[in-house]
Amino acid sequence: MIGRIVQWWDERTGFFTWLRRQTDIDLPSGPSWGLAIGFALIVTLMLEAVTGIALSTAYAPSATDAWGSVYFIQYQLTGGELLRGLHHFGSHALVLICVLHLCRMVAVGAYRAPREVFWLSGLVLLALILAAARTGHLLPYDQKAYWSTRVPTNIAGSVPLIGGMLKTLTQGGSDFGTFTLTRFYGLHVGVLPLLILLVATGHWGLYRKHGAAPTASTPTAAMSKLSGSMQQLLNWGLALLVVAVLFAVVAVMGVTLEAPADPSSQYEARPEWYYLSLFHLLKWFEGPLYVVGTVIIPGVTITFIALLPWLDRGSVIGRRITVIGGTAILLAVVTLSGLALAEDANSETYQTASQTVARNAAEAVRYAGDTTWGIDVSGRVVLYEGKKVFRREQCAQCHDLRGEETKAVSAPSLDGYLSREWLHRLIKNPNHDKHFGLTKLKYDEEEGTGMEGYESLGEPALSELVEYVASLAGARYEPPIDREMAGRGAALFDDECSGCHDIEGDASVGPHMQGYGGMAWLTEMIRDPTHERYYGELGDKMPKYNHLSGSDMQSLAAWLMQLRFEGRISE
Amino acid sequence: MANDRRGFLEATAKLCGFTITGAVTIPALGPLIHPLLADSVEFDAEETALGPLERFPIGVPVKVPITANRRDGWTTTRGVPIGAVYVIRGDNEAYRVLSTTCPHLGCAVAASNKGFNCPCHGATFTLDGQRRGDDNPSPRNMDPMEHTVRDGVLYCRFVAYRPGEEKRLPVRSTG
Repeated sequence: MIGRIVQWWDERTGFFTWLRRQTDIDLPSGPSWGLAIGFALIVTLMLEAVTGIALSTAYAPSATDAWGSVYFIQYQLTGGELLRGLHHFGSHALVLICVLHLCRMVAVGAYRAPREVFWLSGLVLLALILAAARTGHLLPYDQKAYWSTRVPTNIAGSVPLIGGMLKTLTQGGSDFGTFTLTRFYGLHVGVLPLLILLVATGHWGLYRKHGAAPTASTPTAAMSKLSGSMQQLLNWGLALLVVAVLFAVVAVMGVTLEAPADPSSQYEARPEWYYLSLFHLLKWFEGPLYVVGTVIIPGVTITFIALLPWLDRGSVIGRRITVIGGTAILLAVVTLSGLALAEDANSETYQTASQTVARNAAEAVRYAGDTTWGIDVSGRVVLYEGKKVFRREQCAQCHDLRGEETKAVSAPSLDGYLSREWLHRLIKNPNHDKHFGLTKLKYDEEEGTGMEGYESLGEPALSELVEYVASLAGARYEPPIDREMAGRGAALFDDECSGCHDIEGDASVGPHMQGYGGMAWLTEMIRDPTHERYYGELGDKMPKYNHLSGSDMQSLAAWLMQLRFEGRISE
Repeated sequence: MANDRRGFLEATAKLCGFTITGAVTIPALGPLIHPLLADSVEFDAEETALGPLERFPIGVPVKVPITANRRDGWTTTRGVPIGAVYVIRGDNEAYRVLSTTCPHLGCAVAASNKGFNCPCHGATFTLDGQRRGDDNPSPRNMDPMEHTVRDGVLYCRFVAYRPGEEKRLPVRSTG
């Protein structure tokens, strides 16, 4: 059936005949795996095109939306993680296959006349693929993308005379921002793919013109007859192997999305593995010599490779130059990369930094999935920003929180803060070390300060009181607030607590209870704990965090309010 | 003999080719079909306070916008409008809360003291939200919203329904 359709179509369009002619190539040395490398490259390019187009339907190139859209692709979109993984690791595969292809060409001397243009077109193709990979790596706009793109743009800036202009053009302005992303995106999905298609087509045309380069091996007569079909099988076989490996890599390693780009953070940027040698080279050149590492050495190397057809025309000396030069470059690349890897492996600072990066990535992704706060329109993962404020302001110096380093706990614990269990323990015994036991607010009978425990109320009174106090914030609880129970709690509160805690929000002996634990209550309290509506003079151990910006304070309060969902607490 | 082997080689090559095509194309279809599998636009269907009862005079429809947290793709926006309702206060403290969306094709219905009429295709409704006339283009009465009064404040739970259908079905299964 399919055969007949193909035939019908071919008789009218000649398409399949044309296609067969394209792949019918002279193989003087018979079929080989080496020749299949070029074909695997084409298939990987197609894979990048297909997955890339699919990704582009969900990606948004702007400084505020890029990270969020990639988060959405990876964690919400159907099959998104696989798609992004294939595209990401596909780019690594492309570079690897290109380099293998190039090494093989050097090994068999496939650049010699009349293949000079063929050779150069291959190098141009490699450059375009590297550029596509580089522009693509910025697009997720996570920490890694941001910091590892800053370095190459600054390298562009170090080029003598035109550096400043190059950098501004690359960034699309004086600093990274939305224009950097729109420009990189335009290059990545429009300009570069078109150029790659153009050059790759030319490269293929030249391959057909020149045929495969002859090597030492000669095929047997029997193989010769089958060489076309055999090569086809090797081609598709190797391509299938590449695709299978990509699936395996995505399945085993997964693709990471780090925390959103943050120019104020510390980050030890590392380039992709294929740039590690250049990265390490930079460490040897400082000050005015910097340009030697960034421009001169890489430039000389590239020029040498490009000039191979003229340096080696088949004479013994020419061949020797190629072998020595090529080996030297390979050795240098391998050694420098190895040194870079070894240095990081032995650096405690780098290892600690990597752990922080992984922790931040996990937190950002987890908080981005919060259905109440999620990612706001300015692209901030609200709860993650809140936790960052908590860390930046070193709240854990006094407030105990699981998973955070603390110096000397001297304030209420934030484990399960505002959860029913936390409130229950607080009302039962406010002088527990996890509440006010370590503070000036601890109950003092002589002075008449602090609050006595209400354990004597017993159950169900305590739980009803808890339900009422929990309902004051107007926030979500899991399970939801039981209104009947809270109603009974309200009556209890009126009898037992309202003497010291004003419910209308006025100053009273203890902190007021209007919207207790809610956004406004927390914000005001953190801005001034000693305010008469809150803890008064006895709350002066906690600084007034008046310097926090509105959005920082909102993030912090939002984050505090969801601690009740983060793990259970002990009595 | 050689032809058999050639046929085998070519068939195997083709099999590899089809496998690759499938393996790459199928994941690429994910974004395309995603909207059929999961909704990327949703809002919290929590209770909304419409206002204190004094705000609603007897027999005069009052339009109240409904705001909620809206998740649109990857962004969460707090307190944005997701729709609106008319509150009609009857005698004896009876309240009626109707969606402003016309059940015909989703235009916003205009209100007067006599009832509602849709400016797009002329559907008209009584103050109770009942369809008027036999040639009314609307397939059903206006959509009522569940509501309660607590401490002198009127609350409602907003649900968007699919327009153009006789049966009243939610646009999405809210969660």
